[in-house]
Amino acid sequence: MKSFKVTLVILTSSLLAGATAVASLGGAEASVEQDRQTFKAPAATMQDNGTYRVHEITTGGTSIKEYVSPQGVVFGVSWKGRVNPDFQTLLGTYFNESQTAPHKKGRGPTVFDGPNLHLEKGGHMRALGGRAYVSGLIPSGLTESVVQ
Amino acid sequence: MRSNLTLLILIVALCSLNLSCSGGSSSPSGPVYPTSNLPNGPTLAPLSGNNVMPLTVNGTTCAAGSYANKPCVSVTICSPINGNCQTISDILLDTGSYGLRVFASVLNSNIILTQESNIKGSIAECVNFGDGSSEWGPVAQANLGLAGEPSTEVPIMIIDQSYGSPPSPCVAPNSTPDTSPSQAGFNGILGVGLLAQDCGLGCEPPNSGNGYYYACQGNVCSGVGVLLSQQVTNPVSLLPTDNNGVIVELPSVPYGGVSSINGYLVLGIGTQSNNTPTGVTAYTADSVAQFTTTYNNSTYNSSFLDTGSNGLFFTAPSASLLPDCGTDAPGWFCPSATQTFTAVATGNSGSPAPSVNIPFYIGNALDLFNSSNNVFLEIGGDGGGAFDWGLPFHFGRNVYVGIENTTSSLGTGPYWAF
Repeated sequence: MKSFKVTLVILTSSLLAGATAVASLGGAEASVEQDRQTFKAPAATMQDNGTYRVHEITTGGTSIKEYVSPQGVVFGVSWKGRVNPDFQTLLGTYFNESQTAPHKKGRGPTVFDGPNLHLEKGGHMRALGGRAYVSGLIPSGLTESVVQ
Repeated sequence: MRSNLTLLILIVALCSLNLSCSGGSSSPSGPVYPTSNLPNGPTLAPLSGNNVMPLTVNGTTCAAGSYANKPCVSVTICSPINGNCQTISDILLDTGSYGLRVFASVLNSNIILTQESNIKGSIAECVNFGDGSSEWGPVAQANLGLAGEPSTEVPIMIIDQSYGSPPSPCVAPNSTPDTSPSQAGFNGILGVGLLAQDCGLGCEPPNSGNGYYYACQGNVCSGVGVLLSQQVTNPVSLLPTDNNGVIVELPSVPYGGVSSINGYLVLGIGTQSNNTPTGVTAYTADSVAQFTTTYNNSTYNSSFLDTGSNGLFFTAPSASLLPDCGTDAPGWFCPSATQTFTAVATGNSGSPAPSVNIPFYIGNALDLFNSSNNVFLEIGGDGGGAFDWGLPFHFGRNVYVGIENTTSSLGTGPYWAF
């Protein structure tokens, strides 16, 4: 597990709307409150390790993390839990690219490398999981391995 | 036969050149099995009992034309109301899920079931699977017959995308809904994994936003908490005696595959003379049925065994060693020659936690899919962040599936033993 230098927990999102929430992949951190409301998430946490920030919300038994660069751009997302997240909201402008992933023969996880988007979906009942990132948006000095 | 004949001629030619022929004594004909000390050979001894279900991979319990590595059983569903029964085959045996799910379209009209309900309405559910598919439909009480066991009343899911209004996790693009047996590739799914309910405590009242369960009034369905007793339940956990798990018993499969294999799903662990654990070690799992696999210097805490995954899915050590097959079989590995690897599986508890080296094999999936066979030991693909020990792991083994909060001589579930 990763350890973070600073952990900021925001308990009442209604009072702090806009201060933290979840943004779409490739989107701006500042525009996140609308997306958080789309997920109907009751609360959010934000962790700042100095190099990048992670927003986390839990909704419908699924925990969603969004990874934000120092410039305020979401460069990666991940999820873990019972149900898949709303991919249209979560993947934002990269959603259409995700729809070009070819259909796999049989039953197993999906891993897709598009021109910009890398997408992984897998797991099993009660423990679904996955992640997506845009290589070109990952801050210098970091690798995709931080998105997990 | 042509290739075997060629090999024979080659051996004769080499020997005639006075080259070493010491390795040439083994017969070039017949299937080649990898040497990994698997307990089961290519054919299992006959097994009988009221707790034994025939299990085939692409055999008589599967529909013709099934996808590769599909394990199938038959179940008997009876109406608790009028007693009518129907036996349904082509049910996917899935140790990665919990509970029985059957398409509404395969149920005869005289199988009348009672839909679960509570104060909020009639109960339906939406489940997501790891392959990106989903299922939606009502939850109903059925009398279920497994092998020769006493009929047991159990909440099951009736897969019906036309029921009410499916919620967002069960519609495109968030998932690919299973809309018919032909589209999904099976008549239903029998989930007999490590857990007792498909959701568990997280879906009990008052947790209405659990993402699984919905109460419908007319066509309007809203999230609802549902008691454990009304949740879709692993039917094995409700059997009167053989309720602490199952054993998936399958024969070995040679390189290149076979057209089908016959095995058994044995109900109960150490409850009868035919399911006594022998020569296996138990590896405990966490609360969502995951244990640890270490492979290529990476540790996968979210690894699992899953008969419902039709290959071995993990991160390739390199794209040059295990390239993707490309457009004809995307997501599968297509090495130029079959490769042998080893991973280490470790249980989640014990001091020290038990650990085992597991050899596995990856061949060219496209060549295998294009062959006349359907059952393959050596197919796999990219697993993303998880290590998914799918069906090929189970070939040649008896895999014990210990249900949570039950005990056997192997320990307390959830655990796998092999």
